[in-house]
Amino acid sequence: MKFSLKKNSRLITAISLLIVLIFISARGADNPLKGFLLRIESPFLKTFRIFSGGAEGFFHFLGSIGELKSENEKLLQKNRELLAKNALLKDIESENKLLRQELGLLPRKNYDLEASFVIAQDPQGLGNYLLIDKGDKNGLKAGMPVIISNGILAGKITEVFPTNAKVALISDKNSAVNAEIEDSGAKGIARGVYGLGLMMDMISQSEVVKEGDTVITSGLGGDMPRGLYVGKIKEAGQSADKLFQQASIISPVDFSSLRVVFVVKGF
Amino acid sequence: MRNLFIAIFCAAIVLLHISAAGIFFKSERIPNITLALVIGLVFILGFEKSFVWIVIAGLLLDAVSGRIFGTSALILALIGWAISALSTAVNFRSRRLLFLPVLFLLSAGLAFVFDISEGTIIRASGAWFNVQGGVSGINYFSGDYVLKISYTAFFAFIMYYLAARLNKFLSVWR
Repeated sequence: MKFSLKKNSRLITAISLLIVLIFISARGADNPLKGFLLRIESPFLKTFRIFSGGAEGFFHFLGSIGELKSENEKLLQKNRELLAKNALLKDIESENKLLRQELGLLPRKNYDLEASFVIAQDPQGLGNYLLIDKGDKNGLKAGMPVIISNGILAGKITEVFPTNAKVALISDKNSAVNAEIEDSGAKGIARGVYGLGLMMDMISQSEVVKEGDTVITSGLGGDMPRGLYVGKIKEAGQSADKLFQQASIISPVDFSSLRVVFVVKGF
Repeated sequence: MRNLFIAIFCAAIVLLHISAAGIFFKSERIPNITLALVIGLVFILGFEKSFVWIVIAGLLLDAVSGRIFGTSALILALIGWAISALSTAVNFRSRRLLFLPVLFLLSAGLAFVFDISEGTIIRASGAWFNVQGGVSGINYFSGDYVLKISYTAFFAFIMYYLAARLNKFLSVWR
């Protein structure tokens, strides 16, 4: 297998240009070209994503027809139970409102939210980030938190283009969010672990951390509102250096199946 | 006109990889459909004719991915050249029964090579320029990763077939 320089001159030129492009991009100067390509790609990405979601739903429906009847009966029973609970919850809601005001927690409906479709996700499947169909033109900025409709934290915007934005998920290894255990008030940092999970770190040794504790954002640092749901504690232990406690967190979100997210533009 | 059809074909596959694959596959198992496309194109059209499309597919992938722009394009171009050189030396396609398992193993191996190369380039860039590469750790020995490269190899069959059909269509259409 002889390598001919003359024959492969086009390949060598292209490889050299790509290496130069990588050097330039590593310095962070690739945004205009990336933004241009994204602008062309995003309408098609959105269309493919929506149709794929429909197709996936259709196949899932076909596969689950047999289970639908028994599920229907269970749901009717559950509905009756929920009607009774609803009456009780109306009382609890007004009490919650009062307590939030006293604790300085913002009511969720006061957030300035921008609804966005998820049009792509990490193509290498490491679960690190999503691409949404809103960008600089919609008033989005890097650092804005991203939630799912009922106040669950999904991630944060890291890069903004004219009509798109990249959202780093909380499970991304570079993600770090100031967090708090709701019951005990124990403070820590919720970090992503290799794109697949969450860990709450830097918890003081004197704090009590139990399985099942709810983790929320603490609002410290001012970059994120307080009270966004992060997950539940799965298992607590010591950090490697034995100076702090660490706990794994289970998030209720299946990041791979997200269709719509909300960017918190103001809080 | 021939180039337009090939461009549409390549763009559609890459965009489906980026937007739709995550819906049908668990995120750790998403196959590298763009790599499968490159394998199919090189075997059917040859490296010379598919080189431009390989680079464009790589750049489209890089635009959406969190990787350094140009990484995927570079790796795909080198993989395409390697397949072409190996194919010339060994002439896989003449060995009818052996070709399918060879294609499967080759595609799976190249998927592994792609991930290793990508991680290496990003770590090297990170060391030189002190920037975050954005690549999380891949567990190459997990069941999910084995499934990922298996799915990639399976998609290589599909892309090989589609590229062959496209080539036949274009030769008849002319």
